[in-house]
Amino acid sequence: MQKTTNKMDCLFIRSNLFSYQEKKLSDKEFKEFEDHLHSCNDCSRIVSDFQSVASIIDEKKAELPNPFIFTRIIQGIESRIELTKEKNNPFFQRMLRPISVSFLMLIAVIIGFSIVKQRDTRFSDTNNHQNDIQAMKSGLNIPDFIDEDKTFFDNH
Amino acid sequence: MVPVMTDKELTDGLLIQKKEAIQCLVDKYQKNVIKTAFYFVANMEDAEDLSQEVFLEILKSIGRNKGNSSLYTWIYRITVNKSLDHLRRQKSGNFVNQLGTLLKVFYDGKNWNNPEPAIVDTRNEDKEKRKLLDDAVNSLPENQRIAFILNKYEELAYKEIAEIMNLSLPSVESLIHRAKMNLQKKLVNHFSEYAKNNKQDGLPLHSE
Repeated sequence: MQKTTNKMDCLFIRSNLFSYQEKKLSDKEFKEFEDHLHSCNDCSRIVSDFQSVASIIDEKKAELPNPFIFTRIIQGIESRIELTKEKNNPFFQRMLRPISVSFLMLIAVIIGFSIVKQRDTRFSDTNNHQNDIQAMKSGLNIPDFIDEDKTFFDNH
Repeated sequence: MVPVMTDKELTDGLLIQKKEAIQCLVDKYQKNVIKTAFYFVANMEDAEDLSQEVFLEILKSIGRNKGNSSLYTWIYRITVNKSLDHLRRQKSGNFVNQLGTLLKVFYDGKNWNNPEPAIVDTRNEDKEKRKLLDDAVNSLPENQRIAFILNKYEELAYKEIAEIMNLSLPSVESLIHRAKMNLQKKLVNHFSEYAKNNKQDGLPLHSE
């Protein structure tokens, strides 16, 4: 049964929802507030809806961040600090590392080439020397040396 | 094991970007920073990302906080500013998103005046309540919103809020009072409108 209510009461209720929820009303006001709720369906529904929405504040307070967030934050900060340090390095310092690496690689390649080239030259020199001996032998008519003992033992 | 330091040691360590000081800072303040950011941006993942920005900002500008305010107050101030910046960025991004959705609907040929009915369950009801509260809080003027969130969600004393916001104590009291009045008004209007429109269906927000 809906009892008759005066407008002032409803206005008081609707402008003191937080005070009621936070228990900041005086004892007298609190009693009047509750009495009004028993007599006014509209205000009772509004207070109930308000409390239901306000309870979301407590729900939000209870929500906790990811338990591994500490590690994530630290890692993020460290990587950003590294990045900033690199960015803050002067231009020639930033370029020095790749340039020195390239230079060392170039030297290594040059050394490699020179070693290979030297070996080729030595090999061709040896070949030429053998050919010269052969030419001299044929010019002087010297037969190739035959190890007769070895041939004899091989045959028997 | 994270070292424990006083605020003075912490500040000195942060000035030279000492690893132990950074660890101590994050360990000591991560919860406050993430939760405060969460109360503003209403999304835990965004709040966690924001917390990283907050700590980087602290490292970047620790030299500028020459004892004008305590480290605790100063960190809150940075967190609030970063959260508000995030919301502003989100707001400008939302326009583009909405335009995108509109174009998608247009090309898909769906009737967007009659969207598919949402399945109503308790989780949806909770989401609805959450959205209602977030929208109401976000519609408050900036100063009222900051004061309300720091007081009601973060449970900070008026004096601490006054320090964070660089305001006098009576100003903070007035801001919080006005914030509550405005919120009540917005919520009551919403409940009344809803009741008027759904007289026969009943109120989903009304807990039986």
